[in-house]
Amino acid sequence: MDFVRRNVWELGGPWADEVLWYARGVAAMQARPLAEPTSWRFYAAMHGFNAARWQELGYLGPGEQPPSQALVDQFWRQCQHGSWYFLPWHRGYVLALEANIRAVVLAAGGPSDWALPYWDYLGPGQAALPPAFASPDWPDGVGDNPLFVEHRYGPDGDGNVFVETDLLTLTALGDPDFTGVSSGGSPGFGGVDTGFSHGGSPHGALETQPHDSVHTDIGGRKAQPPNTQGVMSRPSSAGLDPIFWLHHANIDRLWAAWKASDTTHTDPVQPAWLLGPASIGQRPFCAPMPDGSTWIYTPGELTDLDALDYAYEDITPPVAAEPAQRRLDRLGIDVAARERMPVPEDTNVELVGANDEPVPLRDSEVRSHVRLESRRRRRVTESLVPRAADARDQGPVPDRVFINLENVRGTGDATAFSVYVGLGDDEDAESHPERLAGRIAPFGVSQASDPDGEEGGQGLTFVLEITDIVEELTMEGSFDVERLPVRLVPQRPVNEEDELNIGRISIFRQGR
Amino acid sequence: MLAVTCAAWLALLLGDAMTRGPGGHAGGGVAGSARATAPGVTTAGHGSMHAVTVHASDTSTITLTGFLSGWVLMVVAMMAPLLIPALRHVHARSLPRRRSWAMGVLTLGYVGTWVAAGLVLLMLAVGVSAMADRAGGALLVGVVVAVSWQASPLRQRFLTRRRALPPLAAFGRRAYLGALRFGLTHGAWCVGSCWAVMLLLLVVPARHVPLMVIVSLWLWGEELERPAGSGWGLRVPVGPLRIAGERALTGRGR
Repeated sequence: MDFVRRNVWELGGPWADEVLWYARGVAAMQARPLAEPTSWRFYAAMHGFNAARWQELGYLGPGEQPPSQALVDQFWRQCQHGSWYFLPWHRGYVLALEANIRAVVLAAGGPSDWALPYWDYLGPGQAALPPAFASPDWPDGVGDNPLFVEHRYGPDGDGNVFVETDLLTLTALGDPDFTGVSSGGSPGFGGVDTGFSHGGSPHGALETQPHDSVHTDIGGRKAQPPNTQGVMSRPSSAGLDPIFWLHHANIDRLWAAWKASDTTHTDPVQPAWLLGPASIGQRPFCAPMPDGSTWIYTPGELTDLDALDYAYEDITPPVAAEPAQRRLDRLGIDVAARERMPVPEDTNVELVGANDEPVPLRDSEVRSHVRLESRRRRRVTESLVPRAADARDQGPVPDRVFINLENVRGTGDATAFSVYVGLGDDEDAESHPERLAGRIAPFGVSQASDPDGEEGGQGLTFVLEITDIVEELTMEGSFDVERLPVRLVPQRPVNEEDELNIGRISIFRQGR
Repeated sequence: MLAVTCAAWLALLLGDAMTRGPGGHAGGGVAGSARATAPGVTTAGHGSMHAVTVHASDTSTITLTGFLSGWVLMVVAMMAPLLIPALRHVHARSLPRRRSWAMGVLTLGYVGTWVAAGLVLLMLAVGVSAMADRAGGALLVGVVVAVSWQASPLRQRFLTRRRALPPLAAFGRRAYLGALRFGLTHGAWCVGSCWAVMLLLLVVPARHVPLMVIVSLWLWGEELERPAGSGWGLRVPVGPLRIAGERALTGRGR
């Protein structure tokens, strides 16, 4: 194995060789003009670009020479979100940047096997921003550290940058299927079947959590006016931050961990995924390489880390068992039933209920109710009834149940809020973690809410699995109600001018 | 939807063939036994399933019903595939027992918008034909308007806004009203993006059906493309069509 990506917190010091060489490489790329395809800002614009936002953050000067329109059309605004291409596109993107940094390292006499470190924020004591990225100085005290970014505000908007790990979960790693559906059921571990998708939704399970949350935790939003949203908080600027690449190396590592954790965890085999969007007449994925060539890549070429000559120091799956298997055990259902568990398909997803009005997000918690249709509700409860000992192989396999936050619109990308399901009116959310469906960080919501944007301003839809919660509510007899309580608890202040609101809250079943 | 589209095209082709038969006109035409409504507006043929066209070189006239039946047929043939994402959205986001009705109401709103637009376009076509002293003049005006609109940034905005899939109420009358509103607004964005090429089809004096095929392929290809930027530019959506063609030939579906 030629290249090994290692944990940035376990390299032996904040300015270990890997980090120091990375900083030198970043500095060299940052020194190149925007119009140069291997410059730092050109690479960032490949993820996303918004001239007004870059000017606001000081990354684009007035009258600065842009690249040719042909280069912009070919390379810029490529990032894939809300798509089954999310993971492979970012894998190629990180590999290409790594190759450009390595070229600088080699030219400067550095190690030929240099590889990008990853940031495992969920590792013990590793939630804080790695120190080399938090200091404005190089290790010798000189104050132009290229890894430092002024517009990183952290979860509280005070410049203390860390990941809120108590709210972060890796439940995505238990998702049995890579590909999901956009019709209300599971969005899958890796996302839903789309064409080229620069900002769509729903986000896949791994993209929703931890990916989105980490972006908005790091970027945050300045607590004082003008309440600037951090570089990492929006897709159109995120690639400018050197920590972005360590975050995405970790997301890439979690993809490898998911595949290693179970033989049934496999990548899609459909030609449209393997061959990428170019196979359906859309833009190919591409990146400028240090030798001046253009690397055009497809997801199918990137599935095997061995073939790509790189590995991760540790891909131990942090999940003990699949939630689906645990559920079968709890309900006393024959293990063979797992073979009959529903895979995400449009044909086996049904709306169970929805709320009546759009829900504006505010500083304080917001309460809503999802009205449930009786027949669909019964189908869910019947599938989640524990089996008698002599009927372990009878009855329907358990449904999976999902809450959808549809058409989330606004400009508050740096916001984050928790979603609780089934809490009583007098119950305190913090005292009932078992009712927490998940955490939403609407990374990309401003872009998706632009009426002239690619999605026509429809906003983002987020999907969280709530099968465990519904199973408990069923046991308690609390799911068999007409109106199911949903509570949204903001983790950070919500600015009124963001006009963040949810178009509809709905619940879907995915079953036979 | 594929079956509906195919049926509409079949009807159009049959109607076109009949107009080319004895007593018919080669220029296409609208249904019915032409009776006076608007002098200078033309129609051709005697069947009931024809594409519509309006031009100055003909002397016959059409009835409103005749125009509308032909117009709706054209809209179904050309626009039905463009309605698929909206139908899928309504299907997925509605309670199972309401799906069929909600999709029906959506379609009603969509077609209703196109019918209203058809009447406006008919008047425009009559105006263009009246102002141009020859059929070729009307065609020239139609081509200039269509190409200009196709290349305009405003049209691109209509195209992108058509992609928006709104939240829908799930229960009661609001579920149907929501689907109707979606059909009307979706239809409005669709009319906004396609009105100019439809006007061209109304004023073209000959080879009406072949032009409809070209326009339809263009619109369907655009549906598969990602939205373009907001500047001027005429994008020919050949990529998706080439891929679709290759897949059809090799039998490899997505």
